[in-house]
Amino acid sequence: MELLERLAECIETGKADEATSFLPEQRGEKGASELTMEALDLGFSPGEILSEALIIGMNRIGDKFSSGKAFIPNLLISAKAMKAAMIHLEPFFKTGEAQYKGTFVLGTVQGDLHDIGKNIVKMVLQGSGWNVIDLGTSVSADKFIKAVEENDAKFMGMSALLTTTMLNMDKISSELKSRFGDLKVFLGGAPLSQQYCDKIGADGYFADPRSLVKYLETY
Amino acid sequence: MKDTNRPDIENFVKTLWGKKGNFVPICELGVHPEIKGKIIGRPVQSLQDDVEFWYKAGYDYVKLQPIADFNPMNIGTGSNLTFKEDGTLQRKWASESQGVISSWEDLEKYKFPSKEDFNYSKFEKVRELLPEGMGVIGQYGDIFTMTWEMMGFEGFSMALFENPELIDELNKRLGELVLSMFEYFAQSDIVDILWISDDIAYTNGLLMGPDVLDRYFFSWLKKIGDLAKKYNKPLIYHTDGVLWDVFDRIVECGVNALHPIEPKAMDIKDVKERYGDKLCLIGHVDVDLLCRGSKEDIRNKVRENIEKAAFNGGYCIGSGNSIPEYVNFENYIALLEASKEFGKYI
Repeated sequence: MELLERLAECIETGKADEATSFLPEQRGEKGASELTMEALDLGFSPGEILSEALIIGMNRIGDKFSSGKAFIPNLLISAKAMKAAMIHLEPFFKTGEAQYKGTFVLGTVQGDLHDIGKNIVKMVLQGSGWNVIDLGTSVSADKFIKAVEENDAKFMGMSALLTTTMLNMDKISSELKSRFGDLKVFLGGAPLSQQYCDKIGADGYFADPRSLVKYLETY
Repeated sequence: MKDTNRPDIENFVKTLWGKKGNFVPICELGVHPEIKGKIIGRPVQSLQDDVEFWYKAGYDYVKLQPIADFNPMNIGTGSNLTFKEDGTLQRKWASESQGVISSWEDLEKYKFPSKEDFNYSKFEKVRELLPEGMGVIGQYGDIFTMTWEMMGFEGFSMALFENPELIDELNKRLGELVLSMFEYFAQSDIVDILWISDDIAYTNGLLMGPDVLDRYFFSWLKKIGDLAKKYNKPLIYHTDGVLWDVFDRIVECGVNALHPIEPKAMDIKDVKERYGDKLCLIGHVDVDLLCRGSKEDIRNKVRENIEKAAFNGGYCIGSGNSIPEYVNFENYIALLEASKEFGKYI
């Protein structure tokens, strides 16, 4: 099988390296880590490896997740394989030889400690070639402002689990949007809806990370 | 809300069996102590206070749990995990990354309770406190939830691929402990109804694949369903989320009533059409509506739910999850009042 396709398959199935043993049909074979190094040695550019293999693999598992054919653990194991590959590409991003699609600031809204959903969004965004600044949980407007400013980010996302914490998004979204005119603010989480997003003037509500990624591709 | 209440456990049980009683009952899994206190006019500090709440609010039952500490050695309390007063893991904030058990060594070091440690004194004491016509629900759950919470959600997810035997053993220990509670409930002459709660889904889908849920949840639900059937008591099951892919499994396990038909996940009309002949449905008044809606919104929603789901019995009015402390109290009263207004079969 062609090298980049094998690499994409390793990302999709979660085969991080040769030692990954839970896939009987791939036991003893190279994983995402080894194949990424091999691709670099063969002269594939970091950008090509990212877009033609890693993102392809993450998109496949992301699509399966969106259609209910894969579940959160599948995303997580694929993200682990993605991390194993990205370790070899990160130096190229630092030198500027490879480029992220953009920077996305992410956090759970102030007062809310829930982060599983946010972490999944982070993994899917990273897997799609985005640089994600994860601010963690219970993030205040000031913290979002600082991160957007320092990273010159054009996109940010907030998540919430409860109706009460969701209400904090209104003030934070308004403050960020009035401060940064070209910033797009996206919302997600169990109590959220497009109706609430429209009410507070945010730019989009997404029920799952894959639909957010697809939307970002339009920019 | 009327001053006199006549609990009718027989009507409630009849509804749970999918039949049509004299009126549509109300039903909740959980009501926050602050809300309970507002109903009875003082803090809820005793079993008697609790019974008074369920009675005054118009429910046909008192819901009881055994006192159980699943972390008697307070392992991991210094981490981001928090614990409720009864020692069970806090379920409000799901634990990220690694929990208290991520290896066989952690499992062997962890001190589990034994079933003999569970305290059922409330079930004995309630006998003399129950008003006429009022019954008892025995409730517990979270076999699957405690399994992943103790490992951390990410830890559990990775272990599915990398160390499934560890999950098997942890799940077995927790399952046997919780099953023993349902053995008590089933055999107790004071308990009328069994209620298991264990979230397996969220707004957009299942938390895990059906094969994972079969292994770590449905196998236990079947055992509990068999107990309920053996002792002829209805079994209520609570889970949030979209359940279309597992409805048949839920029915096969012996569940008689499903709660709360989370409004953002499923429409009650659809559920009634497809499974109304197999399951009593409970709930479906959105918690967000109870928080931010108007009293008229609540009244309309209760009426709408009754029209869609109670026409041939097999429906109980309630929230789309629970009544937390941040629900608008006037809206909760509106829910109770609307239930009385629209819930009588003519």
